[in-house]
Amino acid sequence: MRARARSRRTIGLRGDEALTLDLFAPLETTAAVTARTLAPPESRQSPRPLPLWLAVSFPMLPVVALSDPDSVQAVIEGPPGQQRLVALSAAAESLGLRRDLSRTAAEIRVPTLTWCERRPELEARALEARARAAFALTSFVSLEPPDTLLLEIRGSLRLFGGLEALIERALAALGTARIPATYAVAPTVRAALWLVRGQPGVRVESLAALPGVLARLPLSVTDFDATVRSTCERLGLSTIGELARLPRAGIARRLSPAVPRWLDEAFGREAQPRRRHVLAVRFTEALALPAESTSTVALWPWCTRLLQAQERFLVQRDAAITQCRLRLHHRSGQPPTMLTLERSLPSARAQEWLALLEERLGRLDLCAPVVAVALRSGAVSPAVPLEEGLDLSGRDGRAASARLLDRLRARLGEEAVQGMCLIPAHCPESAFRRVRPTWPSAAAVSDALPCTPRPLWLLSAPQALLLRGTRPWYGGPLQVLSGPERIESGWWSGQGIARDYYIACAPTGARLWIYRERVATPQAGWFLHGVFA
Amino acid sequence: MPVGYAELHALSNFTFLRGASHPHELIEQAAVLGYGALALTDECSFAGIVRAHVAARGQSARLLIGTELQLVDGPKLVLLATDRAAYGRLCALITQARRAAPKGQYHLTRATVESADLCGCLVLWPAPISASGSEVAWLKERFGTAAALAIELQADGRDRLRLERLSTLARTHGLLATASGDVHMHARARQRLQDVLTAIRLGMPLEMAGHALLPNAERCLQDLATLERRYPRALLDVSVQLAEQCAFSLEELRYEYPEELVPAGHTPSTWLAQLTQRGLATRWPDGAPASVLATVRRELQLIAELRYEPFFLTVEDLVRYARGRGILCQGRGSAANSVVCYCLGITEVDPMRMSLLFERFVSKERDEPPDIDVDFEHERREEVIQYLYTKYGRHRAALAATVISYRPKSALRDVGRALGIDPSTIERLSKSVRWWHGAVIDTASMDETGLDPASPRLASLLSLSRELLGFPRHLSQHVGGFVIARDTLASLVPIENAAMPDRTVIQWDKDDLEDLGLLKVDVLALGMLTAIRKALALVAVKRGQPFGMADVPAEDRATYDMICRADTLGVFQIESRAQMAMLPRLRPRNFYDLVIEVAIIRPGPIQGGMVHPYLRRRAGLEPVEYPSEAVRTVLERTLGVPIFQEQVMQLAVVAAGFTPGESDSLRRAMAAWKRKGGLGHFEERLIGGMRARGYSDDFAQAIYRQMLGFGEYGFPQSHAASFALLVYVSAWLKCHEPAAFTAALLNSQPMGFYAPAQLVRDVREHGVEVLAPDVNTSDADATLVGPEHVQLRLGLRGIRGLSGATMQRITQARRDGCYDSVQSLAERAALTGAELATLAAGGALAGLAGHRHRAVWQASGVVAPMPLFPSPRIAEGVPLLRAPTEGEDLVADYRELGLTLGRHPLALLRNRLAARDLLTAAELRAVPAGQRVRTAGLVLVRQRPGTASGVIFVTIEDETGVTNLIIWRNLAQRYRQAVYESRLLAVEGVVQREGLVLHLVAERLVDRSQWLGRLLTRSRDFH
Repeated sequence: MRARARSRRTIGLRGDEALTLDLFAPLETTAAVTARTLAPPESRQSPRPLPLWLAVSFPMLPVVALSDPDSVQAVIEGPPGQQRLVALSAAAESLGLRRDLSRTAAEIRVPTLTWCERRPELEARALEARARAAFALTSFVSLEPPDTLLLEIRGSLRLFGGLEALIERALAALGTARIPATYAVAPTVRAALWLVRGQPGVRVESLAALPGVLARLPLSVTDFDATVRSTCERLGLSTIGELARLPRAGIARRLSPAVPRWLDEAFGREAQPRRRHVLAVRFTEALALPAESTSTVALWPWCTRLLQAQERFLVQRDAAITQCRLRLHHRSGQPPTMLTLERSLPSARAQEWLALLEERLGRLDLCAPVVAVALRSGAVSPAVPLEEGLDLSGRDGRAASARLLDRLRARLGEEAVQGMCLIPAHCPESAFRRVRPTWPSAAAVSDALPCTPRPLWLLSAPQALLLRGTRPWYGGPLQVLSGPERIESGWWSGQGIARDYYIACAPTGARLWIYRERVATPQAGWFLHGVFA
Repeated sequence: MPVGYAELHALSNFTFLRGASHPHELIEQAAVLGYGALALTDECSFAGIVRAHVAARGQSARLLIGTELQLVDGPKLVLLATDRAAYGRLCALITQARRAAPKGQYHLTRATVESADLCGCLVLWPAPISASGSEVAWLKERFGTAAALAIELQADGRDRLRLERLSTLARTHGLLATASGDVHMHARARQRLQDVLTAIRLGMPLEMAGHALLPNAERCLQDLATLERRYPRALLDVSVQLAEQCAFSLEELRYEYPEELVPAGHTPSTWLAQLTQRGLATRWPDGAPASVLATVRRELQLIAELRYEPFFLTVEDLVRYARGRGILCQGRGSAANSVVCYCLGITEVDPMRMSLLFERFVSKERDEPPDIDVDFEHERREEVIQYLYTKYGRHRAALAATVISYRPKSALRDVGRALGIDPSTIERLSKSVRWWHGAVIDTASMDETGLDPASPRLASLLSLSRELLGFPRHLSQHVGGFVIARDTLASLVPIENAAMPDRTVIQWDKDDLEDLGLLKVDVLALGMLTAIRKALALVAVKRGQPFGMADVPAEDRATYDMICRADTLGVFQIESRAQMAMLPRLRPRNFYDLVIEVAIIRPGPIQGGMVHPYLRRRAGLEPVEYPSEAVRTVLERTLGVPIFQEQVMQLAVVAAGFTPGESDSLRRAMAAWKRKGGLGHFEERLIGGMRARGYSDDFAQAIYRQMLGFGEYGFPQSHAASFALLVYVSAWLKCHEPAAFTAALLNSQPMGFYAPAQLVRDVREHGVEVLAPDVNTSDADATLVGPEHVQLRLGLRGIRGLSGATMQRITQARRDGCYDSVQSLAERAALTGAELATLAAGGALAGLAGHRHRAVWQASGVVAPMPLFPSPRIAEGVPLLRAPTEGEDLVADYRELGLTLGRHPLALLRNRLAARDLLTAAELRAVPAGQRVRTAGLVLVRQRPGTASGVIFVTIEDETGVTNLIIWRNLAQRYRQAVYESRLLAVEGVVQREGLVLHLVAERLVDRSQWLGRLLTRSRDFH
């Protein structure tokens, strides 16, 4: 919020609407770091106004949260053999399936049912994304995993023009047109949660009206555990009202001491503290230049300011980043120029980021004059304590190497600097992979090494060899030094090979890695595949 | 001279998830390639050697027996047995290694090998290229000239180097060097499967398996030309020389029976004769008729000739022990229905009373051990097993193994995982592999899944799964097949740990034992024996005199009347829907009819199409004709229809010219045809033989079809007779002592087709008063109460969630007088709140606390007394709790007891049902056949008999009785959900009548379960 407000203030110089609006794409959920604090509902004056809670529940969240929600009809959960449906797509519901059905039963009804296992981490992310949207309506949002949000809306009622309007706005903001949701309004958290399950759509604004509504709810909406619920059933209790009528000490002893307390919380006789959800932190800031700039040199001080501000921001939070993005805004009509800076090791220090920026700015040709610069930090990770020392082989050697790598990549381009990772596989073509270079290298995996020699230079594609008589020829007759090493593998990938490899000596003295195809194909014959040093 | 070779190091698929070929494939391929011999050297296992041995009979390549062992602290060795003694030592070593590790693993150290007696074993060391002199020295020192260095070349690029280094190493240490192959598959084509097996073993997809996979397909059986190119001639010659040193064959194994069963001064023959004499005197107190004596003489003579006395004595000893402990048991099997077995008390079926012929009694011609299975009460079989272990010792007695093999579903699942196919696709595919496809993966049914069988990945999945089918996966224990050795079993066959603690299992399964002509005793469990013993005990108390199975009067008219009415719920065997449907048609009037009834309603005869001809002939609707006089002698007893397994075999003899020995091979082929695919050459011989003897083609084809049907399910007459006796006894008990019979069934749960709810309901319909469980009157078990012992009091064990110890405390503390309050019950029986609540919910506190809700309130409020303090008294009143409604009580009854003594749930819904024109079961009985009606009921049982081409039998129940539904396959598919899921099912259908039995052929089904609310009824589903 704060960052956004500042960007409005600092940028609105030219009254250019394109600039005053969002400078950045919506926050990426993947990179969010969440900090939570325990806080009571906001208090402005005493006596404290009665809070009012809007509970919004997304029963389809387990489906919607999947990366490809259209491909599945149902999400299942449970140990093998006892799996049950926890959520369904709209299509599946129209086929007569319902939640809580066992998978076996569901497949009896719909033999072609497509399902996948529940992914709690995706659901948590999806719920958090919705929580973020909810901050448009209130500053107090609380998560009730797996699928419910609680919004304290008393303070927002007037701002949004009353309860009805607010609910309407909330549902729109939370995207309930696309993802079905249910809601309920109640003056206590627990009541709101029970009502959203038991009587969705109900709005109870006063404590006085609460008992009458709650009493009719079935006990199945409560969070009581299975033992408590089964004892209730054995006592012939089916609604909250019937339970609430019984002597307090009696039910505490028979069911659980928590039961009367929860009832008190539901009815508002006892306060229920609630965790406030706090949004992920990220540094974002933009600066409008006092005058248009056509040279990258002129941008330098502004960028320095932004990176220093970022450093302060991160240091305050004891955090560091491995990536940040600089946007150079041009006059309207021109798309902004983006500079992404990346480091191998996380850092907060402006100095280090400036070193990288220097490489980039130095090679940059501005396509149009720059009117504003904006900086946005990447995903935040805990800071790594910095140690300065002389020992280059140890930690600092590592840091120095990493710095070198970063500079090379910044100067030559991301693609030009590659790392190599060995993969344990018999096929030479699949025995390595290009990777983003890291320090230390990921390649040092001993069990990925084959036990026979491999050439350091492997041709990107095997090269057919001429034959003289039956002998392969490469600038002269080749003399086989060792072999054959027979490799028949990789069939499962559709690119299986069947070859006899030999190490051969060329007339020049070069040692070559050559092979003969074992399968009769049009290309059958001898091939050069690598050169030993 | 042509090059010779013997493969000395080969693994079959009994080295689980490494070997990629069946043992028989290896030996057959070795013969094809012209090898002199092949050593099966599965890793620390002899589980595959019997199969290899059977396959090697008549092959040009000789089978050698050995094992590959990976020492935890040393090299991998291959040990080969040169003679019987060495074989025994290897068995002992494998046993030692296996027993030292959990199931499926083994543990062997250098020290163990050093201290083991391995005299007569050849020791090969498949040395790695980096082999060091110290290891060779150890080998040389420990094994001397029995050791050899095995050089295994697999074209890994270093063959030349390896050959040089290892040859030099062997030469410098004066050790013999030989060629060997480390064979993992019989042919190159198995490489893919071998890769998949590796991936399965590692539990990762092929992409991730990396260097764990073999780099090429060279670990197959190579042709001689390749071997000659690869190895110096001398190394190949050594392999042949070493193979020649191994002279051992499994043929040498002779089973020797335990000796201790014969007292001093007796030979096995004289002792068996004496025991039989004693038995004769008991069975025929007034002297046995001459025909019996003649049969006994003939049988004893045959047993003596074949030297099978110790086997009969072993079984007799077991049975005598069981009887001494009051454990009911009964023998069955080919040899069981001899007069000797009747005299020895192994069986209760008087062979003379049933005028049975015993063609399948041990025959001289087939040198095959006799077969007796003994059923024991299921709750007490463990005692018998423990007796065997105690008597013979664990080193002499062990359970046979069952080889668990890949089935379509498991094959698809594992191969799919290795290929990285997502689990939901595999599940979908494996769903389409229905049980009736048997062991074959059928692509035709894939259409239903919407998957494309032509896609390369799926094509790989299907073809590899097909190859994997039938591969052994692990060894499990056989249900009760025991082997007992005279000395140490471990020198006959390796023994390993089973999954259950304190259980061991040998490495051979039943078929292996049979193939080697070894003997086993089957100790099986049968629930009905438990129930019968308990019922007889209750009858004895009621009548005030001992009452045993022998006291059940024979051929009781009322009992047969009851059976003909199909009033057989709870009776052994004939309580299933298929049996009940058949009873009024078959109308059994004597014991032999029951024997036929038991045998005919089996998948074999049903698949073979024997049932309807038999029924028609019995009803006189079709003439009984025989194609020849010879066939008449075989089939006369069963009206010209082959019903028993031995009749089919005899037919092969009299009609197709088989010798009895051949006919026995045919019987084994029949049992295995599904596994091995077809009867092979028997089909031709059989049909050709019959044609040659002038039988019509139709007749020949029909007989062949019937044989296929018999395959896995056919009953020999002796089995049927033993079962029929239990049918008769249980039917008699149900007819004359219904209360005792039902109490016994309830006390033997879980068993049988029907749940306690149906048993109780049935016995109430037969006029027995049933009383609810009550803490002041009920025992743990159901009991007979009342002045005449005619009322049935349900036991506390019927209350779900009550432990045996709790019930014991309740009944024990009650001896000092009845409980007068919940509090006193809690104190005197030391019950926890939870236990009290369970009792309250089960309605067992009704006498102390009033209605259920009040009882639960009181029970759950009791505070457990603390040892040193007086129990706390908490002053609190009972709040006003609503009394449960009838429906609520019903729900609670079903939830806590699984049954109700109140009104039937459907009685509560009757108005609603009647408003929809749904008839009761009783009303249905008055409807004429062919009429369309509607009814509804709780689903009790769903059955899909393996034979009835997809038809599903559903039994539904309302307050007036049960109705049997027939649901044809198409309909069942259309109403899948209603068929498989409903608890309350409404049906519209056409009435069909067969004598007194009514079926409703369903045409429309509706799931009305929602009318039941929370009523928890669970059907018993048998597929």
